[in-house]
Amino acid sequence: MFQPSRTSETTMDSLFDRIVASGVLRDIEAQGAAEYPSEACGVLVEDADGIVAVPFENMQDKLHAIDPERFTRTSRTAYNLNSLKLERIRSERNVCVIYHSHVECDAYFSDEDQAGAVTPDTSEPVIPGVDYLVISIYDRKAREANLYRYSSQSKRYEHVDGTEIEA
Amino acid sequence: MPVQIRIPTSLRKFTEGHESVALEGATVGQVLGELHSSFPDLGGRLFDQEGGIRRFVNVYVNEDDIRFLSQLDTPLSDNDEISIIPAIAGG
Repeated sequence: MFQPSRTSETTMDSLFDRIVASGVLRDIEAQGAAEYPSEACGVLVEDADGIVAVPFENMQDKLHAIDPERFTRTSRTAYNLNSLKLERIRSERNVCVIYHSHVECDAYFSDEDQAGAVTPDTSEPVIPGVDYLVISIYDRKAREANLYRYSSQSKRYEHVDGTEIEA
Repeated sequence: MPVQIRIPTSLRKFTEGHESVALEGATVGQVLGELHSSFPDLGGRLFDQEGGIRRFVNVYVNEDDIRFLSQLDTPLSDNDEISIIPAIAGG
C-alpha cells in the first residue's frame, strides 16, 4: 500500500498535508490498482470529518467507442468524468481536489490535463478553487503523487512546491 | 411547453447573468440554436466549427449525457431540463 516517504512531517502546503494525513492516497491507490490499466479518477471532498475520496467512473472508453475520431484516446491514457455528478456533489459538499491516475508513467500534469482544466478561450480554471492531484501507478502500485494548483499569473496549473511524495 | 436550460457560472456573462433560460424546441439542437439566437456571443462557446457541441462542454437532458443519446438530435419532452456543464477530462 501507499506509504509515502518524505523527509519532513509536513510539506509546504496545508491541503496536501491534510490529504496525506487522511489516508485517501491509499484509497486512490486501491482504486487505481483495481481499474488498472485504465486511469482512475474521482474527487476529494473535505468536510468537518476530514477528507474522503469519491471515486468516479472513467467514461473515456465509452466515449472512444461511440466517437473514436473525437475521443482518440482510451482510458489507458485519458480520463473523462461525469460533470453533472460532480456539479451535484459540489452543490452540497466542499470538493477540494479532482484526482486521476497516470498508468506506467509519472505523476506530471500533462498538456492534456492542462487543456482539460482551463477554459479554451480565456485559460481560466474550469472549476475555480479546486486543485488537481495526479498519482502514478506502476504495475498496480502507486509510485508518486503530486498536487497542482492554478496560477493566475501563468494561467496554468502549476506544481505546488513541496507536495510531491513517493511511495 | 418551454424547456429550462441551466447555464454554468462560467458562461453567464454571455446570458446577461441568467442562471437559467426557458426556450421552446423539439430537440436539444433546436433549443440550443434558440439559445444561440438569444445570446449570440454564447454560440462560439457551445458549438465547434462543424456545428457540434465543443469538446469542453457537456450537455445533459435531465440526468442523461446527450453524447450517449442522439447528440443534438436528442428529442425533448415537456418539463425536461437541459444542463450545460464544463467537461472534466484530461490525459
